[in-house]
Amino acid sequence: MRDARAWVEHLRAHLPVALSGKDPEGVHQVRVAGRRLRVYLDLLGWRVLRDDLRRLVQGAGRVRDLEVVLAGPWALPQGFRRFLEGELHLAREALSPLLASPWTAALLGALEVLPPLEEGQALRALGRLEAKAKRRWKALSLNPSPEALHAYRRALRRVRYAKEFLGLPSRREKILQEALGNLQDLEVLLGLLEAFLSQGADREVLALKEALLVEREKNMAEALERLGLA
Amino acid sequence: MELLLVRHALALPPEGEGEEADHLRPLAPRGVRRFRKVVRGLRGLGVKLDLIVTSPKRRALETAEILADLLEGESWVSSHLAAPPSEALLAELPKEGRLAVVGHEPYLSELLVWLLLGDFLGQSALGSLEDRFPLKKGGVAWLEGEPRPGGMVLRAFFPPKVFRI
Repeated sequence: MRDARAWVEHLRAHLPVALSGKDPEGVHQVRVAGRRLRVYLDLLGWRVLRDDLRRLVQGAGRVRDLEVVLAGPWALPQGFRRFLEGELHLAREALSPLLASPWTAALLGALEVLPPLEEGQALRALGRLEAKAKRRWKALSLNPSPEALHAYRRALRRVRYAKEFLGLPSRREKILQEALGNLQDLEVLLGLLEAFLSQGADREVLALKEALLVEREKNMAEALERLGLA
Repeated sequence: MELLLVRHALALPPEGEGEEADHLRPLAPRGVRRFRKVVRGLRGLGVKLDLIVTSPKRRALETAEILADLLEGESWVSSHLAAPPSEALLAELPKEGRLAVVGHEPYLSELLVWLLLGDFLGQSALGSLEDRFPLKKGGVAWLEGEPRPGGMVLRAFFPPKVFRI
């Protein structure tokens, strides 16, 4: 069984990289560490620090989503690209003061003193996370929508992280989570397209949206087949 | 707004010396048991919290975690609660709702005096007043008003023993 120290160190190490904005990996790893530490709180059964980590993950998430879309394989129309770059600039402007604030230092200090896991309690918490993933899977099988798939993927990710803290095998969850990841990137891009189009119609962007909706349909069918739900 | 100043419950002594050892101090099993009674007592009084702000030290986090049974909103951590009371701390506190801050002595007593009496007595007088509001471990001071110097009134002052009856 592992304690939280390695991921707190991971978070501490990547905060300066995220702050500098020079390497997208910095923000990505801050988000990953934040998510993993939230699962550690689940295993501890703690309520405190959960909102702090959510704030950190959400702040990093906006920057990360935009960076992924801008670096992705899609041919983005110029106007839309400029819009995304503007949004990224705003998101970084919001994230930097947060990461440099006394609050982040306090959060790191608090995470560093988290107690070790108690095995029985942690295993019961894992059971709850697995039960939630099963409920999400059932909801997905009844209503195979992108939203239900995303909810299932998130629940699966929590189970994977929990198992890794407990030193249990998590290969199945990891493979499934990665397989469903591309679809989520597509969902993020579609959301950003919607935000751009709400400012005014753009023929090129509308054409991209149509193409992406077709791709989403195809990816969704593949994902459901992989999950045995086709 | 209503503000509950909560001193962390009874903790184990530090293992080793220095600041790090002090940060790592967990609650003593007796501290946990006694503070659960405090929370039960507060619940009996109908207390529900919109926000908990806690010091990042382990004994404060563990106290806040027990107090979170009364929480209906959010919680966050603040380094200002592990330091003498400051304008920065007051600026962090919302102006509405009922919230609890979990921290340490002598800072909480200093904060209490500052919120009740403001600055008009001067720093030298403040120093001697702090001893007159001794917050025991797991104790609670319940204030009401505006979170600014001299902006609050004392509604109740509970040593933890009150809730053991």
